[in-house]
Amino acid sequence: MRPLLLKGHERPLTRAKFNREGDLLFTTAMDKSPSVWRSSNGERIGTYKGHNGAVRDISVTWDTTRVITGSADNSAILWNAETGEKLHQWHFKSPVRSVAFSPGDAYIAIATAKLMGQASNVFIFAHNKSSNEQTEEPVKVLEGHEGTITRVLWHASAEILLTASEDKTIRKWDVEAGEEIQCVTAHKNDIKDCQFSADYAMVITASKDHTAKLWSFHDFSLLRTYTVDHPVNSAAVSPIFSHILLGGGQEASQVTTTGDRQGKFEGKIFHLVYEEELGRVKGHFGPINTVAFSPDGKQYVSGGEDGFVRLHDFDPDYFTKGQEGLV
Amino acid sequence: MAATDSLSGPAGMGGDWGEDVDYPVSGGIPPQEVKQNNDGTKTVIDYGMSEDGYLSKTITVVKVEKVSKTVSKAVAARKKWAKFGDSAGKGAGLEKGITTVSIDEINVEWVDNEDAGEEEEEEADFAEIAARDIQSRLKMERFRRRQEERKMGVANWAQLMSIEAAAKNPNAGPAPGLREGGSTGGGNKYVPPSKRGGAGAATVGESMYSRDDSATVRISNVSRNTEEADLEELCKNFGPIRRIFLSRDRETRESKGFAFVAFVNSSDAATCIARLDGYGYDHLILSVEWSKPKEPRDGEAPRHSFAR
Repeated sequence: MRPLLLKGHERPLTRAKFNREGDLLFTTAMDKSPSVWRSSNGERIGTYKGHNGAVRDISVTWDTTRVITGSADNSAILWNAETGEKLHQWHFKSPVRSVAFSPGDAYIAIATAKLMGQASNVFIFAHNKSSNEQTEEPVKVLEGHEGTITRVLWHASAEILLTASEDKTIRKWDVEAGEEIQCVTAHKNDIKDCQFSADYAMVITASKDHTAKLWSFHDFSLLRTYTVDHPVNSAAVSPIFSHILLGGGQEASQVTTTGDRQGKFEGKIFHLVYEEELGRVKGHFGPINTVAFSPDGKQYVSGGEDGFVRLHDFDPDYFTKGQEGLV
Repeated sequence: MAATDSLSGPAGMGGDWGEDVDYPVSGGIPPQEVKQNNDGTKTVIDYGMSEDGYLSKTITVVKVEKVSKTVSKAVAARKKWAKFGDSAGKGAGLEKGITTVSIDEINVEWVDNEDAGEEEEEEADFAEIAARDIQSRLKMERFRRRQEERKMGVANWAQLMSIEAAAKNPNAGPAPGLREGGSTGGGNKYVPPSKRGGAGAATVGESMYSRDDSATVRISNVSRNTEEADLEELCKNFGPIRRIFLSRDRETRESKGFAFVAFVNSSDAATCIARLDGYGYDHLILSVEWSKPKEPRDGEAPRHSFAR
């Protein structure tokens, strides 16, 4: 395959994400311009201009009409996805690390970093879908994490919220009650990313402790551990095969000091059940910060510390191999 | 609903190599030229102004493929989105320098394939180590077996010789070689070895290559594992040995399966032939006979059969 190289960002990527149908790709980076691309040919449709700091996360509504981004400029901005028009901006006392529309788009969860004397909290806002006017006051604030929340995810029911944090824990929250349901110390080091499987039954966490772990969402029982020889920055579950995609690499600050060995900046495909590495995809010049499968499982995107987004269309080879790998 | 995507081939991307024409600008920048080629590709010539006032001409060959895909209404509607933000006003299609197709073909490197390669390498190493290992182990094994056989052989021989000794020569002294030498020369006079044992007469005066063969036996059908020491062990029971030559391959140093044993006394050699011919040694039956000198070749001095 010849991946599409999307060079829209000047700084390390923080998040790459497909919309529900998978026809659009949204990317955020440490620069100020979250971007939207066509996943079919890599054409850039536009950038959302308005942030004044690194953008850490992006979320898209079910119908891809609105986009929310969270930034280190202590704000989250709601955008018109089609025009790039800024609809609303929420301000916080610390950088925003993760944002998520709830299924049904009735709520927005915004997680802030533990910084500047602020605790890392999740703010739940009601989302007024029909108007640009949004409420300034959160309907709920979820407090409890000791470290910065790196990822906030809604379960399909929109009643339960999942958070992953640099305090090494993943937590489930009852949003209605604003209470923590369950907390598990998942890793030995910061959790950098957390993604649901397509059926919301499993959760994969990626950590600096060189592992990614697969959890049952129901009871947070540990299902599988995928171990590599470098920090894992992002992990995704294939929607069609028993595959796990891991992205990572030595930390940027470590690369020059430890003598970079080629091969740590690869996307790695693991078998979901057997925990075996199936394949690798080379290409990035720096650690991979974010990976995502397209909803049809035929593409995957990786965004690296090198500022490149690489959009891979799997070869037919992958699908035959994938079928073989299916149990 | 149907929608179409414009996919440009790799030739259409980048195209930096084509920016090759430099000349000072006279007048404005010429408009874009598009030529349709016969092979279905399109040649696009773009003109631009470089920073130092030179006109640049970029020639790109583009192949446009129309890919039709059935998509939902919402997706089809999104195909019509106008560009905004940094891409505003860039027109339809890919932006140069923003989206490129990887020049390198990047494949999923399946670990089983890759590992096969690695493992092959490793296996080769491993095989080498194993081979060395196996060889050394075989060597050890051979050595051990030989030791055992030797012990067994010696035991057998002890038995054999005790019978032999009784039958052979009741007057035999402790050193047969000395006895023979003494009888020929008479008194204390030195007798060269070639003249000892009464068989020396035939070879007197011959060239240095032609050695005394009279007390030499040829042992053939010797197993490959047998070495000189084994033969010595085997033959020293009959009497003093002057020389043992085990024929070996010049390169591999492997035994060729026959050997010459030169006794000091021809009578010992005779005993050896009598006792060892047809004796089973190391799973083979030895054939022992008098060594015959090699037929002299044309123009060559006759050489001893076991001359190196």
